[in-house]
Amino acid sequence: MNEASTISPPSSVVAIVAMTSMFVREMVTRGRFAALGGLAALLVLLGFAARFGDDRLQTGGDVLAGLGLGVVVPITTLVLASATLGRLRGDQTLVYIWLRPVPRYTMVAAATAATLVLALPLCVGSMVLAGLLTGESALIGASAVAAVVTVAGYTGVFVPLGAAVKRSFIIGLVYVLVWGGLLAKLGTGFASLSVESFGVSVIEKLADVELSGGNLGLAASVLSALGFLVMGVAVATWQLRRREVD
Amino acid sequence: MSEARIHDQGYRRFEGERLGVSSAIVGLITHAIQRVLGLRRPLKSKILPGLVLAISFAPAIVFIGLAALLSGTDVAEEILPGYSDYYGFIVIGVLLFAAFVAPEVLCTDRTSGMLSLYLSSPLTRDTYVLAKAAAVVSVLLTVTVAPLLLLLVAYTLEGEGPGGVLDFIELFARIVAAGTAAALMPASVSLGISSLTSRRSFASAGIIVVLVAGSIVANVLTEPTGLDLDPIFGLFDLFGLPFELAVRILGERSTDGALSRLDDPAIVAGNVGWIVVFGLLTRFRYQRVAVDR
Amino acid sequence: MIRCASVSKFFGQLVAVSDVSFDIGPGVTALLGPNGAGKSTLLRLITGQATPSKGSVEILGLDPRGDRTVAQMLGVAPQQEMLFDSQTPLEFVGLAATLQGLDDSETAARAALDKVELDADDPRPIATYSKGMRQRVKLAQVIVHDPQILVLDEPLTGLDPRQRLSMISLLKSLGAEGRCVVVSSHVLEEVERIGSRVLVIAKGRLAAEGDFHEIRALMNDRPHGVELRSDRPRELAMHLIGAGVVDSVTIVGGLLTVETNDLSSFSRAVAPIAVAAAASLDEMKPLDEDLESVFRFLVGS
Repeated sequence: MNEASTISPPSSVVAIVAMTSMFVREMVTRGRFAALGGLAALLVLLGFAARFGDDRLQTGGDVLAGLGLGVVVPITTLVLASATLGRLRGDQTLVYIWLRPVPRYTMVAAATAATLVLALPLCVGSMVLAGLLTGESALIGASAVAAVVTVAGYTGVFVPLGAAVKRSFIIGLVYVLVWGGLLAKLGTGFASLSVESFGVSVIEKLADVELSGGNLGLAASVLSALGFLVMGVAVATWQLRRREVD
Repeated sequence: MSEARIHDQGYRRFEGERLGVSSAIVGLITHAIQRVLGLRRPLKSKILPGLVLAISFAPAIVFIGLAALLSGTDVAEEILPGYSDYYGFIVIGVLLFAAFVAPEVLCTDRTSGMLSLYLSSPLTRDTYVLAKAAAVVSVLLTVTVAPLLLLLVAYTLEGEGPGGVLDFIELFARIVAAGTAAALMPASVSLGISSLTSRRSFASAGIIVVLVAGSIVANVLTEPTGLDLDPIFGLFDLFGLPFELAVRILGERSTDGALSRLDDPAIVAGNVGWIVVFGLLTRFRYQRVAVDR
Repeated sequence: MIRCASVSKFFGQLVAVSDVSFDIGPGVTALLGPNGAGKSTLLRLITGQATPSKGSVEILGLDPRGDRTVAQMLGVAPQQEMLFDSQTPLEFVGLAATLQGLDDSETAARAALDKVELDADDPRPIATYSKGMRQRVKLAQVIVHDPQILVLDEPLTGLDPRQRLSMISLLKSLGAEGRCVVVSSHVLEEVERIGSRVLVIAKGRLAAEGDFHEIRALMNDRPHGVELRSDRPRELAMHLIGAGVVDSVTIVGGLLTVETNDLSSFSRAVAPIAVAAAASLDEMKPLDEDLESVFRFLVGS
């Protein structure tokens, strides 16, 4: 036996940091950020337009909830999250981290961290700026909290989705559209499993405005989103353990 | 004398009949339709189209059942939706198919290099795009026309349909025309966006963004509580616009929103305009796309 | 160091690997077989990427899938070309070094890239690399942590002849150091040069194993069984023996089983002999078809 087998594996923190920076580098491409930046800019622009409305609070709330939480946040998070584990699975490059002597959860933690590192500034930034430009101060804080909650919840859905199924992107879109856009508006039972509803409810409660697809409690929404995130890490870890890797 | 010789074994000439452009187009269309609907493919590829069709047909089947139970009573009149009301049940189906079908039929050929094979066949760039467009429209028709025709036929058999044969034929024609109108614009938008990127997922996301965000933007601009601008800005509602046209073709008019305040020529012009814009975008991209891989 | 015991792998109805048993020790071992024979699946079973449907795989006595310590002594180069394309080779190999637990990952990555003759200071991302360069980046991430066991799926494809030679000598020296190097290939000449020890895989089965030249000699020396069906088996047998192309003959009913040492001259002779014997030749098939066909494929005769 030579000395090779005596090297001990890295600490989990070192592993997570190394993989997170790899994921972030893989995510940052010019085309991707031009598209996501354009999307964010549209939200900001519409937030600005809302200040000229008759009912600023309602119009601003509709923009932030409908366009922000319904389109910008889920699409941004989906595009970024699927560039982590799902992309590696599709490319058949997952093997280059999967076969290393680091725990499976560090791979998922890195994918989650990388998604949050890029999605939070993009989403919170555009939501707060849009909220600010509506001229309704109540919407500023509300949109910040709602953006964090929604990004966290969607990350908890999309990261494990990429680890679990091949066509995770289109399935993620179906979740956003069918669950968030259709079922969640039918009743609170569906809404309690819709990430979009968590964010919408936060804006409703914090800014005191009536929006469609909300209806959940403030604490319940925040805790549910965190629950989604934690469950997401657990499910993705379990998927990496049992999956066969190309 | 040398031992070496060459046998003509490698190349076989095609001896069959050459069927020409039209059959190439038909082949391309049927192949694309089979592909997106998951026909002749493993169960996995049937899930998404199955889900979309289920969402779009389920209400129709429920209403047909209700109509059978309530036939002839006054309750039937109140509960059962009119044909134009049914569009509310298929918007998600149209959205999903728009996001899924065109990227699948256009982007896949470009990443796999199939495009260069197709273009070395009798197909030109234009006939290729037209064939793909026909496939996308056909798939959308399964959602925009088929459930309503099912309703029409079932209602008629149950005695809740139109009175005479002529009325039936007229309504039938209107439903087909309206459904085609509802399918053309989403198809054109999704083809145009799919022509911009060879990544399926980006194309899907782009289509959703354009359709949904356009709707929201138009609402904010025109709502009385919003900016309350001229209803003509409702034409930015890329998603609502084709359905408004379909409703008008059925001889009705939606009851609220900026589009309901526009007159027929504006709605028609809006539809035609966007179809031309995205159609030209697709054509322009495919005239230029390089096929050297 | 690697032990497979009655390993099978099914994908639904498809049997990719069927009841394969072998031991692999130190040195270079080549896995030889035509495309689609199950080589890649077998390698994925060895590395723990896939779970065997039946049987068991052990690496140094450990389960490669269940026991994470296996990963510390394992280096794997899969078949697929894709790597982390937006990274430079130094970043990519450096990540491998870090995850393997090396303290100075950059130095280790530079050394590994040097060994495969790539420029560690190249600022271009892997996306711009050619097939041969990618193949070498792949090898660099295998050797960066100096593993005890190396599993390489088709490592020579895409390399030019000179790179091929240097890759082969690198693999040989790794084997000579007492490491266990498993290399798959479907090209006979490569295998002839890489490894003395060969596992021949055909249709998911282990068709032969041992020293390459010995297997080849066995194939040529050993009698080949051929089954013939004829309306006049006795006459045909007499003529065959008379022509001296067979060593032994057994007749059961209309079925004639012969053994021959020289399959190719037998094949050429059998038809004219049958004509001479005025016997029909209704059917003729080699008895050990699998191995035969693999070798005919591989040796190209």
